[in-house]
Amino acid sequence: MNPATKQILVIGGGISGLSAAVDLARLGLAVILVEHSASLGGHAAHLSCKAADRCVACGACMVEEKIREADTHDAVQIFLNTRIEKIDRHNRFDVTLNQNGQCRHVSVDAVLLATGFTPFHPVNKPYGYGRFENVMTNLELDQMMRRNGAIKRPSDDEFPGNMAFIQCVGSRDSSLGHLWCSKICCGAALRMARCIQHRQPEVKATFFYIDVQNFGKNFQTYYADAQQKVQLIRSIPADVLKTADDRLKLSYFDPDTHAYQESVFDMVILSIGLMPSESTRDLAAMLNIDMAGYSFEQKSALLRPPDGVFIAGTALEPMGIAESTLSAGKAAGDIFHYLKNHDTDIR
Amino acid sequence: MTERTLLLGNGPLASGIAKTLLSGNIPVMLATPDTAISVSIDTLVPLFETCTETRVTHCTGSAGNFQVVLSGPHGFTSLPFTSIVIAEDAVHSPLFSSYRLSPCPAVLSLSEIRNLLRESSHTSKKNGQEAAKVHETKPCLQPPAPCPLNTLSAGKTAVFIVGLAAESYPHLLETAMDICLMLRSTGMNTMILTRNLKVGASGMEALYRQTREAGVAYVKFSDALPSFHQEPAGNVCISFVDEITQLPFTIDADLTVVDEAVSPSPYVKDLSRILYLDTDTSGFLQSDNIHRLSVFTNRKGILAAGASRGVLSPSAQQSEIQATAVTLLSLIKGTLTTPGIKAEIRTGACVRCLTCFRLCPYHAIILNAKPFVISDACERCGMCAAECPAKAIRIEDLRTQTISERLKPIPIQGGGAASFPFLVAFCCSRSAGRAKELATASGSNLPQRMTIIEVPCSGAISVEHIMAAFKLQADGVLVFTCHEGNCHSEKGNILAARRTAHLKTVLKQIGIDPNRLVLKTLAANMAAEFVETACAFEKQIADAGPIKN
Ligand SMILES: Cc1cc2nc3c(=O)[nH]c(=O)nc-3n(C[C@H](O)[C@H](O)[C@H](O)COP(=O)(O)OP(=O)(O)OC[C@H]3O[C@@H](n4cnc5c(N)ncnc54)[C@H](O)[C@@H]3O)c2cc1C
Ligand code: SF4
Ligand code: SF4
Repeated sequence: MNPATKQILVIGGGISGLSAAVDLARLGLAVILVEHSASLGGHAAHLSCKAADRCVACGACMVEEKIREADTHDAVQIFLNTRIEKIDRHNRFDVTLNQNGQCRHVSVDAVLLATGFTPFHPVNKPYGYGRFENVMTNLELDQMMRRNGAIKRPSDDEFPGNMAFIQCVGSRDSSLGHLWCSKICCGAALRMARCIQHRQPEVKATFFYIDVQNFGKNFQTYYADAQQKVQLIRSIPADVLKTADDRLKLSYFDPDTHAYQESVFDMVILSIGLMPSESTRDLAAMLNIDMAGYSFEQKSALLRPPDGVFIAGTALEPMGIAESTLSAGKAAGDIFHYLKNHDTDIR
Repeated sequence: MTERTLLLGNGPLASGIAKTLLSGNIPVMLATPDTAISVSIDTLVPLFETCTETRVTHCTGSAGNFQVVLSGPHGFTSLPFTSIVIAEDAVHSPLFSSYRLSPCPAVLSLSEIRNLLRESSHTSKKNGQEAAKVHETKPCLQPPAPCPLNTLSAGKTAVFIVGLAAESYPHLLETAMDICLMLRSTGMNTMILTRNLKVGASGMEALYRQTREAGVAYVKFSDALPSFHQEPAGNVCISFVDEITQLPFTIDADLTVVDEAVSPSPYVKDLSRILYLDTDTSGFLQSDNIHRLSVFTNRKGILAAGASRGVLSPSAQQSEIQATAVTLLSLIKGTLTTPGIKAEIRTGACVRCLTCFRLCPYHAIILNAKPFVISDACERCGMCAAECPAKAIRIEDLRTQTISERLKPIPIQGGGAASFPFLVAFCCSRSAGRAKELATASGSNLPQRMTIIEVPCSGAISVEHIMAAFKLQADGVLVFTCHEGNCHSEKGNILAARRTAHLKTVLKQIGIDPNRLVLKTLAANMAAEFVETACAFEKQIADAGPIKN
């Protein structure tokens, strides 16, 4: 068989796209990987390592390895700062790429959408995001840790004494019509809280939640550890207000005392959820995919793209890094299978 | 050489993998301890062989060339295979005893009721969806008599216990929710008791809302659990105080359904021993190490899929099948082979202490008359070479001599030597190597005179390497390893830490400040910490001045 004559367009250079590109290249197929930003890695490239005294298998560092693998594989051609201008379906797909204003035409046998997710924007939630500097999203917290190796209050650059994590911001929320759990934020917040405590032992962490979702192979161990070291409160705060001394006051219904309670924190972290990305919708329109049922509420299996078009990773539904690589593996397998059955060239 | 793959398993996952491999013209032999093959493939497919009542009892060789001893009804046979795929089902054990309940027609396990319902309804909602089938101890073969479902009718109450004694899993909750919907449609009252509602899976939050609208009641517990009292007739009386309303409740359950613990089967545990496979804390065939994602084990050529590698939802099955097939195809194509010079044992020098055999995380060293390295399986971690007491193992580009040539002091530019000490940083290329690259790409300043030696794994950094650095006038040596639990070779970082600790005492004895040798664990994305550690070390060594001797 001659898979090298087959060319696949992978759209999106996050962990899903990278992983699929490497899997496809290892099967002997040629890959064109298109990323519209200036660097590879997607969201995972902004996340920080959450190891405490040992690795907690958050998976964040895996993206560095995938970038290297994709970068060094001869069969993967990477286009950064590149947009998909147009896709025409004939027998193959004729694609116009626009790299910084320069157009280029490529012809491919299959297209993989690995366009990822959009983080929920919490500005309309009653938590003071955008108004109080020390209210941050989990993504911003990860970025801060990754950049500085430590967590400080944005307002005064002081080390925080206590931090609150509010879960399910933008997820599991019927008032927004977001009937999905984002899956990754419970694990991300609890791992992050323990990681911060490892580096900054004075930090007290409180976790406001609805239900704790499983994460990783060793969930029971991590959860037991978190139960010991993090205050877990089964309640979602009603609002966040700034105090006169630049701290943050949360009010919530306390399940222990059965009364409204107020607590004051130095920082509040909003565990924002994963949302479908507009970019996926736009590309889908270009590819004539019926997106009527596209929402993270549905099982992704319900999405049926036309022949030759495949979807992987968080473009499908919320998932973590490990599951994204699995999803990429599935897409690579499906693509290989498709090419084999749609061409006499491959035996 | 054979092209045939040995597939261990007999469930829907094994079936899917077999079909996918066969469609790629990869010959498959499926072997199972079960008495009958439940895999639905036309066994006349010329590339497909099956054997029942068969177990793996021994295995030698490596990827591309395994020799496996199978014990079957007709005795032992030894056969060659190119690779081994383990796709065994997990065992689901009902947690009756955790609630002091005895199984009876009024107290069933989740799998039991699911199977009973599946048998009794011809128009199952999941018509033809084989994927949802979870294998357990086959209770469906002998439904408890009288069939408990016959006594269920409108107005009766069914209570599902999901994740009270131990945290549960989304796919078990999903099963409970599906059944509740079914029972609600017959007019029964249904209730789910849980701690954390595991909705972290495809479509689950929406299903949860759907069940609520259909009238399924949920009670969540954080601390105190309900008490269960089983009447002599078998039905269960459940009492608890609701955490939100603080009101006491007592429920007479006509049917109580108990969820299950999921664990690897005894056969899977045997396989881990026979095939030298690392496991996680529960005994599944994949350690909690991100380098094993998705279906890798510590051994090249042996893959673990689905419930053999962990608790996975049946909805992930299609992904497991494809990812396994893709990995296997790449293995066969040879595109997963680690390039580079591999370890080599000079048999003349070997004293047969078997240190290397015991150490190699990939089981790439086998025992002939003397130990022997299987090149293809060697991942170049260098642990064997660094630990061999007879110095009989060599990886050419990691030899102390070769490394020493790269340890020439960097000439001083401008300022005095005192403020720019000569540093050597040994870096695991997967972690610190990448972190350094990220740091450089973002324009961070690193110490002026720091020679970086990247090695495939910190397990390769030997006592001799570090001493060579000091002999070649290094003022200080940094050893960067990955975090414990993140080492591709499982314990290279631990060995490096042990050697560093040992060397610190040696340095002290020979009059060198042990603080001139520092070990730091890093992940590939910790560029900030890489820079911070290196710069702080430069300052520390500059302050201390050159080594006096
Ligand atoms: C705060 C936070 C913490 C997290 N922590 C963890 C964790 O600890 N563990 C874990 O497993 N997961 C975690 N996750 C989830 C993790 O980030 C995702 O699983 C992962 O990033 C998904 O990768 P992806 O490739 O599917 O999508 P993305 O990372 O979104 O990548 C998509 C890529 O496609 C590009 N793209 C999009 N549209 C186009 C287009 N039209 N043309 C070209 N390129 C395009 C984007 O620029 C991007 O590079 C976390 C997420 C968040 C928000
Ligand atoms: S905690 Fe996460 S980022 Fe850190 S080493 Fe482990 S997997 Fe990598
Ligand atoms: S993972 Fe946790 S925080 Fe995130 S949406 Fe699900 S339940 Fe909420």
